[in-house]
Amino acid sequence: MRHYILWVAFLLPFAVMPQTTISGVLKDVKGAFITSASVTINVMGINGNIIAYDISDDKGNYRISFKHPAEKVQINVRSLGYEYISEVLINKSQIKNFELLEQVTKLNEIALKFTPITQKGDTINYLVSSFQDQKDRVIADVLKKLPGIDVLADGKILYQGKPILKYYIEGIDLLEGRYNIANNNLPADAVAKVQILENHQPIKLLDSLVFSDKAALNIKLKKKVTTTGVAKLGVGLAPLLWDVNITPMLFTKKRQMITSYQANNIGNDISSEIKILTIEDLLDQFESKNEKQDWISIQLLSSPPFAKNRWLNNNANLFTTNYLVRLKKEVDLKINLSYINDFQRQNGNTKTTFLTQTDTINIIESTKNKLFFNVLKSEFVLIKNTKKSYFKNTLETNNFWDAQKGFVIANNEALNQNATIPFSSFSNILKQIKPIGKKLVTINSVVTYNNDNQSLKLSPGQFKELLNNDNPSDILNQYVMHSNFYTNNAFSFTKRIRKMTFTPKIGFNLQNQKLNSHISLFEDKNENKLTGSFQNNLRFNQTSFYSILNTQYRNDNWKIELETPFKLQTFDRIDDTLNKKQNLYRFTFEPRLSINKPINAFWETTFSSSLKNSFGSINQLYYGYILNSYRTIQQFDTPILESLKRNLSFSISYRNPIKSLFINGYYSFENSNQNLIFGNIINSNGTSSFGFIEQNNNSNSHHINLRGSKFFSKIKTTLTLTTNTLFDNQIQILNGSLTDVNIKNIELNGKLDTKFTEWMSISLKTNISISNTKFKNQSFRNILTQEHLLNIDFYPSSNQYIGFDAEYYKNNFSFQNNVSYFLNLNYRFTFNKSKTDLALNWNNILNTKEFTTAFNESFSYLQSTYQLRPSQVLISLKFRF
Amino acid sequence: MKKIICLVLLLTFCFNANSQNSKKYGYEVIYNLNFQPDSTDASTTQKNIHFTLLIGDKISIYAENNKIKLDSILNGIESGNINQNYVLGNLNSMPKPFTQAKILKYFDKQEIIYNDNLSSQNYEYTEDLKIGKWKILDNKKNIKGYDCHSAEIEYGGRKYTAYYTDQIPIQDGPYKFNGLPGLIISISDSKGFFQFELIGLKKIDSFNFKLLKSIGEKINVSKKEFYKLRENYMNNPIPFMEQEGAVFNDNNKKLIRDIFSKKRKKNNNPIELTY
Repeated sequence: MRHYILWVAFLLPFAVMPQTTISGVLKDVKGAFITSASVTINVMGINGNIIAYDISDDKGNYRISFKHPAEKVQINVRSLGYEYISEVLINKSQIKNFELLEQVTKLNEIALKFTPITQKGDTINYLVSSFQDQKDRVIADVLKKLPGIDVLADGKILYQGKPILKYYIEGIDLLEGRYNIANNNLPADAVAKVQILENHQPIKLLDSLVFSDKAALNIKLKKKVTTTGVAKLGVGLAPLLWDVNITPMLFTKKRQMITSYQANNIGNDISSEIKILTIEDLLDQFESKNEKQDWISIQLLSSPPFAKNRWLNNNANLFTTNYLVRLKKEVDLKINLSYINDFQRQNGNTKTTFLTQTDTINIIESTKNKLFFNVLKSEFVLIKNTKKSYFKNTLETNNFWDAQKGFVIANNEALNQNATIPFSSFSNILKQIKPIGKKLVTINSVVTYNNDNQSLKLSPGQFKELLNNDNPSDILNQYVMHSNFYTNNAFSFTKRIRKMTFTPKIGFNLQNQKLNSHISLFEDKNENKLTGSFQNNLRFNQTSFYSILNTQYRNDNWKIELETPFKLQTFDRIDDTLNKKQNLYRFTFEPRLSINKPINAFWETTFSSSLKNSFGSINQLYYGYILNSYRTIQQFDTPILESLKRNLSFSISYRNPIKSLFINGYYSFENSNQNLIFGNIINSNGTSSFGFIEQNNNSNSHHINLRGSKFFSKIKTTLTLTTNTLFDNQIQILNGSLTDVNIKNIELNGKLDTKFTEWMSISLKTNISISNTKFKNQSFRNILTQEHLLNIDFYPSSNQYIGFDAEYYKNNFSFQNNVSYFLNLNYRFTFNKSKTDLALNWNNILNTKEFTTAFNESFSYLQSTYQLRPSQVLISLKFRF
Repeated sequence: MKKIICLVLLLTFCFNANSQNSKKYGYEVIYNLNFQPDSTDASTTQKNIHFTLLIGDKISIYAENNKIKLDSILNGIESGNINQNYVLGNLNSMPKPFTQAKILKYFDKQEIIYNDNLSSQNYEYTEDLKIGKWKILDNKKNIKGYDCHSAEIEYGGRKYTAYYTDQIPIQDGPYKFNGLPGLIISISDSKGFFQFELIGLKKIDSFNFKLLKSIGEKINVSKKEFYKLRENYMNNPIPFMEQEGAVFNDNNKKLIRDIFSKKRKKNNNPIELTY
């Protein structure tokens, strides 16, 4: 009852308010009815609220009834093609006819704003043309500017801070992760779109069964059949410089090919062109254990902490061909071949000043190094990837014929170093998945064999106290022979039960390694082959039997993955000559859990936790001495390194392609426990060296990463900000005692790319890193390094481009010359109506010749210089076809 | 793709030349639609689907941009302007619309004609232009330089809030929405499943009447019949396809049924829940 009274009280004013009806006819001057006109009754004032409205019918009639307390109201009549009428009326029922004058109605048009980034489900499309500058020639130039995408200095592409899983061209993986060759040479003009495929599962058969949280990148070309590529010929001074690149490419539905010949001596690191950059392919390589191992080396100079092409003194040739052909339906054959030949030089000086009570002693070392690289790699892949079956077999051979020559003069005493570092490997990786009934059966098999026969020759010999009772020797030879056989075979099946996918897996792996080494001293051509602890005849055999259950749960809101691997591992380490051995049996359990939850279309969180055991590898297990370089000689007469790592990580990401905003944050904590401790060890003969001693110890590290990038479409600017923070706590041996070491490292990065006018674009990159090391409670000075790169490009006309690069590097750890500047000038002229560019590059205009670092210790002062590339001018012609 | 765009442009010009009888004004409005096909999963949201509303004197046509492009090509084949083999050879680069629906609003006849395809058969139903009663609200907003007023309507089992501007006296909007004293600039349902927003407006000199034409024979049905047919089609598309002369073996039938049942599960959120 009370309700009714309330209602009545509320409605009373309206009930008393009389209803007003305004009606009439709309006609034009000629008397024709005006249909479809909007007639509104508004509250008085500019843009007053609409009280009621009607639309005139085919007889021009309108009729509006309303109740409103105001004394006066406004009537507005609007129709396209007629003038706009607004009149004030007394709020009472009346007939109001209007005669409308014809008038062109001009509406403010709304221009369709181009959406450069669009999203359809898991696919994000970037329209290349809206990010491409006049100077951008190849697709890598454009990728760098896409929000959400980063390209690292080595060419690695990151999406939302994580490396991409696959690099496809028209959905085909031609390059098996060696995507720089395409990225650096595929003309951006040939590309329509760059696509990011989120949650990408590269094996089609597993698509709805095994989820993935990784992203792949796909290049969509403008044409279905594309023959394209670049050719470049550059010459310059001084000395005589060249830069040659011929890279033809072909993309059709059934065939893809990228072939390249490149040669330069201008400091461009050619090997990065064929470096494997995708995680999956890198893991494959890691899993096949065929990576090159260098047991010995000459003493290399530590390279300056900035861009390679400022200091790399090279003379390199690369030939690579990558060919894919569709043999029959869905079966592809891929052939990837490459050969690199490179000759590099390193020149530098080190000056060490010792302060004694009475005197100062100066030691001046001058180093001249020559490095020879000869690498032949071949890979044959047969792949079938359909929704019904998966088969991939990779046959890979790698051959290295590397050599190094080093020449050091220290206080007028010369030292020659000669190293030959060959390596050859063969591996076969097979993976097959077949559906049998409702299950998927997977077979994995890896077989690898590699061997190397390396040697280092020093003249005169070193470490005479240790090796030759303090007697000098003319020549010292270190020989190392190593061979490795590895196989890993596993069988698993995948079964989906509702929203769960189970993959139990069983398998075994086997690794047999042999390491033989000895040292020979030569005095007047008489060989003295050292025995005892200066040789190794080590056999190291590992076996592992494992059973893993992988469980994935996925519904619309959650993705959960749990992996529970049990492993039985054995290690046999035996050296018959030195009469030493160790056997180790371990049963390990290494669970891993990851939880992924998309909160909505924009936000996503991931949590993961894992436990991981690792064991020492053969290069930390030899009982006898090996001379690794003229300054280091090492033996590892300690047990096998065992460590257990616990990891916790949490990440949150936000991506909004409509607003072109990408943000993500990441935190991880790692605790590691191991049985050996690294540090400075005093040997029995009084010398000291770095190595391990037995002592259980713990280390903890925290890592926080925050990253955001946004594209401002109005001013055509992409802004990216990143911070990286690392806290690390570990124990080390210093001067014979255990010391708590705390390391703090903070890195700030900013990147700005803008082309807000057609004739200029600016890119600014800045990187500041602060690190602090604390021993016990003694804190050292903060080490601060700064790196600022500014790049301003002008486009005075449509076929010209002038660019200035300024680079500034600063650190606070060296005393002198802690600042380095570089200035470069680039000019390019494009011949009209052709795809030919004439380019002029003047690098290092200021002719900065050396990079110097200096360190101060309590009784010594050390200063080292590295010879940089001098000021150089290069003129080149570049064709795109 | 480029070739097809060229063709589409070329065809548009051809039609323009033909349509001398078009009225002296016309507007082309582009709406952006974000929608969530699966009401239980926000991650299925489809963004940036563009629709064109072509407004003539007494008629307007509303369809997805890709549908308009596709129709232009198909019309071109029918009239012999485009070589059929060329299209067949470039099926992959043909525009792929999310919806084949076309909505024609006849302001003189006060009716809406809804035209859609089930399989490749064309169906059409008619409903009243007046789709419901708008409730005028006092909210105001300036959107893209236009002063907009707000209004509410219930239609097809959903409650929508619209912003319209009386500065543009066109009583039209996206989908079937119309009847406000100005053009609808944005409209979305209370749950945010369907969000239409005007992103482009320009005057056009002529009106492409070819778009009124449906491709092939059409069948006139009632709205109820259409929804019944659509449900049957989604549940079992085979008879529809067989009616059109397609022949399947059992394997293919199963495959098609699987595809459609997956589709049905994901597309559980049609714009009209009641009809």
